[in-house]
Order: sequence, then C-alpha cells, then structure tokens
Amino acid sequence: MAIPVEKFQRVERRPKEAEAIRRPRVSYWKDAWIRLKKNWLAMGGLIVILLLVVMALVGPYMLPYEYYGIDLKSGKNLEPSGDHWFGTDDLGRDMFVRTWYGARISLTIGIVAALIDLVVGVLYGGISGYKGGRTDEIMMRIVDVLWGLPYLLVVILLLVVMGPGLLTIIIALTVTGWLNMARLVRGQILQLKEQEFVLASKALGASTKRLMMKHLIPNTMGPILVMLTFTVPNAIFAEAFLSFLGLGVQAPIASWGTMINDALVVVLSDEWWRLFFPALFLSLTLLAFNAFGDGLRDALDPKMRK
Amino acid sequence: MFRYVGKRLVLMLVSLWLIASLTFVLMHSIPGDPFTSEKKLPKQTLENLKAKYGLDKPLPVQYVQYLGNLAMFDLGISIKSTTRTVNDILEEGFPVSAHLGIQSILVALVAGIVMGMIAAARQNRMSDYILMVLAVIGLSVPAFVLAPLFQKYFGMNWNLLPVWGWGEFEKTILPSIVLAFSPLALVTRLMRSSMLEVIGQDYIRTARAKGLPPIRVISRHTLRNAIIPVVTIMGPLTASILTGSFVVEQIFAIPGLGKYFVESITNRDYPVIMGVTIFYSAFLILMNFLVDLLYGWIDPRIKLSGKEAS
Repeated sequence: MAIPVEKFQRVERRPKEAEAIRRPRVSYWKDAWIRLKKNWLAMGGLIVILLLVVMALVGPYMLPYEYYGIDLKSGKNLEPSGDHWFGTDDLGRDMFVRTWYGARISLTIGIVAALIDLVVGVLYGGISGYKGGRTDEIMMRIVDVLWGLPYLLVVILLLVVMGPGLLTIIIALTVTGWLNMARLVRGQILQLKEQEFVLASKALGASTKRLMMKHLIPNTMGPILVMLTFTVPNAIFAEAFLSFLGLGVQAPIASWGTMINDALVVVLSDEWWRLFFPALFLSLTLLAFNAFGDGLRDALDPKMRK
Repeated sequence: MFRYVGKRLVLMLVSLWLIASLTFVLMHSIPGDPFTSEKKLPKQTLENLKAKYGLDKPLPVQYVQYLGNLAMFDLGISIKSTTRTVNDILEEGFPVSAHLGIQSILVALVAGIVMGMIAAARQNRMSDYILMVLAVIGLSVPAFVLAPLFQKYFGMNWNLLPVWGWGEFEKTILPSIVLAFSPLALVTRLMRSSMLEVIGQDYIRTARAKGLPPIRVISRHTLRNAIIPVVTIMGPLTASILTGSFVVEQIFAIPGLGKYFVESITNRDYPVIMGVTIFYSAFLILMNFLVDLLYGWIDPRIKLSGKEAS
C-alpha cells in the first residue's frame, strides 16, 4: 500500500527551536532539594529540627515558671499534670520549662560549636589547600599531630582545667573540633583548584579572594554542609556526655545532659518523667540531625541521581 | 612500607609528647596546688608534701622530671589515696575494662556484620528498613540513657540479669550490650553500604553466572571484600568503646579504669587524671596505628607508602 505524497509534511530545519531549553533550569541546589524532598526520613528530620528550634525559643514562656524557680514546699517530684505538663524535679522546678530551656542550651552549644568549627576549618583547610607546596605540608603536619590526640580526652582535660560552663564547653569542643572540617575543605580545594574553570577565572584576572569566595568555597559547600549537620549532634552529644562526668553546664542552668544526669539517681524509682523527657528530646534531636544529614549527603551527591 | 611505618612511628611519638606536654601545662596552670583545697595544713607539712611530690622545684625541672618518669612508665601517685600509684590503678582497672571492651567489640562486630548483610541482601524491603531505622536509633540514644533503662527493665522489672557489680559472666552481659550498642549501629550501616557496593561488581555476577551456590558467593566473594571498610573504623570504634566505658562502668558499678577515671575527675585527683589520660591516649594512638597496618595487610590493593594518597 502506497501512502500519497500529500500525507507527508516537510519538517523545516529550525535550529533555534531544536536548541531551545524547554524544561525549567534546575540548579545544583534545586536538584538536591528535589531529591531531598523525596526522602521522607530526611524531611522528617528537618521538620523535627525546626519544631525543636521553635520550642526552644517559645517553650520556656508557655508556662508561668522560671527554669530556676524552686518550690520546696508542695511542688517536689510532681507527676505530669495540667499545671506542670512534664512534672517537676526534686527541687520543685518545672520540667517543661527546664526541658525547653535545656533545649536552648544544648542547641546553642551544638550550633555555635559547629559554626566555629566551620569558620576555622574552612579558613585553615582553604589556605592549606589553595597555597599548596610547603605551606600545605607544614599546615597538614600540624593537623596530623593534633589528629592523633583523642578528641573527648582533650575536651575533658581542658574542661577540668578551665572549669565547667557554657563558654568553656564551647571552647573545649572547638579546640580540636575544627580538624575534620579543615581536612575536608583542603581535600576538596586541592581537587578543585586544578580544574579548568578555575584556570579560566585566573586567566581573566580574578583575584585570590574572588577565586576563593566565588569559585572554590561555593563548590565545596555540599560536603561542608553535610559535615556541619553531623557536627551539631556530635557537639550536643559531647555536652551531654560531659554533663555525665560532672563537667557540663552548672546549676541552675539546665541542659539536657545535666537534667539526665540529675535524673539518673532516681531512675529506679517511679519518677519516670525526670529521665524520660530530657532523654527523649536529646535522642530525638540526635536522631533528627543524623537522619537529615544522611538524606542531605545522598541528595547532594550527583551520583545518586536516578 | 618501611618508610611509611617509620613516618607513622615518628608522628605517633610527636602526638604522645604533645598530649603529655599538654597535660603537664594544663595541670600546672590551675591556680594553687593540689593541696590548697585540703584542710589547713601546718606550713612544715605542706612543704614536706610538696617536696615529696617534687612540687617545690622550678617548672622546667619538674617538666623534665615528668617526661623522664613517663619514659620509664612511671605515671605518679594518686593524691587522694596516697598509698596507690597511678600504675596500681591501671593494673587494677585496665584488665577489667579490657575484658568488657573486647566483649563489646566482638558483639558489635559479629552482630553488626550479620545485620548489615541481612539489610543489604534484602535491600529496600521491610527487614532492611527496620534494621536501618534501628541503626539510626542506636546511633542517637546515648549510653547513659540506655544503661539506666536496661537496668530498670532487665534487672528490676523483669528480674532477668544482675545490673550491678563484676565477677561472674552474667554480670557482664548487660554492660557489654549497652557498650556495644552504638558501635553495632555504626558497623551495621557501614556493612550494608559496602555489601551493596560489592554486590554490584562484575566479579560477583561472574561468580553467580558460573553457578556457585549463593552461600558460597556470599562467603567467598562478597563478604571478604565487603568487610574491608569495617576494618578502617576499628580505630574510632575503639575510641567510642573507651569513652563509653566511662559511662557504663560508672552506672553498672564495674571496677574498671573508666570508673576510676570518672572518680578522679569528680575528686579532682590531678595526677590520676593526667596519668590515665596519657595512658588512654597512648592506647588509642597505638590502636590507630595497628589498624592502619592491618588494613594494608588485609587489602593488598592499598599501598602503604610515605606519600599521602590524597
């Protein structure tokens, strides 16, 4: 059977149209966000983190008590009730207010420690990787030696000397905490700086500062962010661990770690709420950050693209 | 190879020297001396005490003496209980901690490898999801939360196992499990991802294609390759077991080194803090070194050389 000629339609060459980009442009970050949104575990983590931050901000004002408000007469060891949503502790302090006040302290320690690690690590690793040669050699030897020191033992040692407190904990956690970040950033920069787009930018006369700020650091942002989401829970965990050793923040200031530590003496009795609430929210926070970090790492890895 | 080992040895010694010096500087930067907090002592007694511990000499002399003592493995004397040296405490506590630690590492490795393999074999199915959720929870619940819960339920409410003390095997069960919990989660996750990577390799397909029974493919081809990354985390794993032992030994009242260390921190027994810190550091640094050597030996593809691989 023959098809008549008029049934055919000639397709003209339209190079403009053929080359046109029909789909909306998807940047690296948008692409990562799309992949992240599909990961329910990571999104759950993100939502929990946001909720925790909101509660840390407003939680202490939701009940008319102060975190240090002691009530020794009738308010000791009360069960959770309409007046005290999470019960009270052995000094009659409201557990709900203390839990969210503790969230503030724990999150502050986690986030501030992570940010300090970020700044120091990116600067140190960036300079080391970018300069290369002898500078890199010397800077990395220093990192290698510090790397050999056991992290928590150094932190304990520093805290024994400096004395416990919010500021000293953050200092102790960051003294060797930035090493991870510095190593990561250096490795990334070493790879990136040999690539063509950096050479092109250099050929166009970009200054070192511009190269760093516009090209090198933005391109390492993915791994840096992932590491950051793991640094926060590690710092929160370390603070709780230090509280267990009696090196945490000092009363009447509450953190989840100190609250758990206070509750350990009564854990075998019936006052379950003393341990339950701080332990629950501490674990939930660590869980949320870990889940989110895992998802973020997968989302930012272009190899995971399907 | 020899160059690599030599370089690592030098680095190890520098790290050790650094931590020793750091402890020395830190401990001497504390205002006052170890006896200021005690009851008011007569002047003569105080001077005698200082002379006994060498605190009357200038700092550089003390420092050299201290390093000399360290080189001879003499870690000093506990200030709070004057009859015991730090070495006594190490001798007493370390075997107990080592027993507990080795038991936990074994639990973590065996259970972690098995669970990781199951999760990988049943990827994206229900058992995989359950195991992975459990692993994330395992990483998120700290030992000092887990330990009291175990005590309460296994010990008090269900009366299954002893929750206190040391000596018989039953008493080691709960602490070992608590201590193994987060390393177990870590090993499971790592094992799962490395299994998945190996399963996708061509030589596994070849092994299957030539008709090997699945169990042999797993034991001879998959497992042997997938297990290598687990070796790399033995160093951090030991560190996490070690810091975990502070908590677990304290809560389960086990007379190990971790418990003594925590007590020395509470009592501000500076010589013990210094001595045990240095001992722990040396131990961890040595472990990391051994793990690196082991890694090169297990996987011949990895060349140990003086140059960094990056």
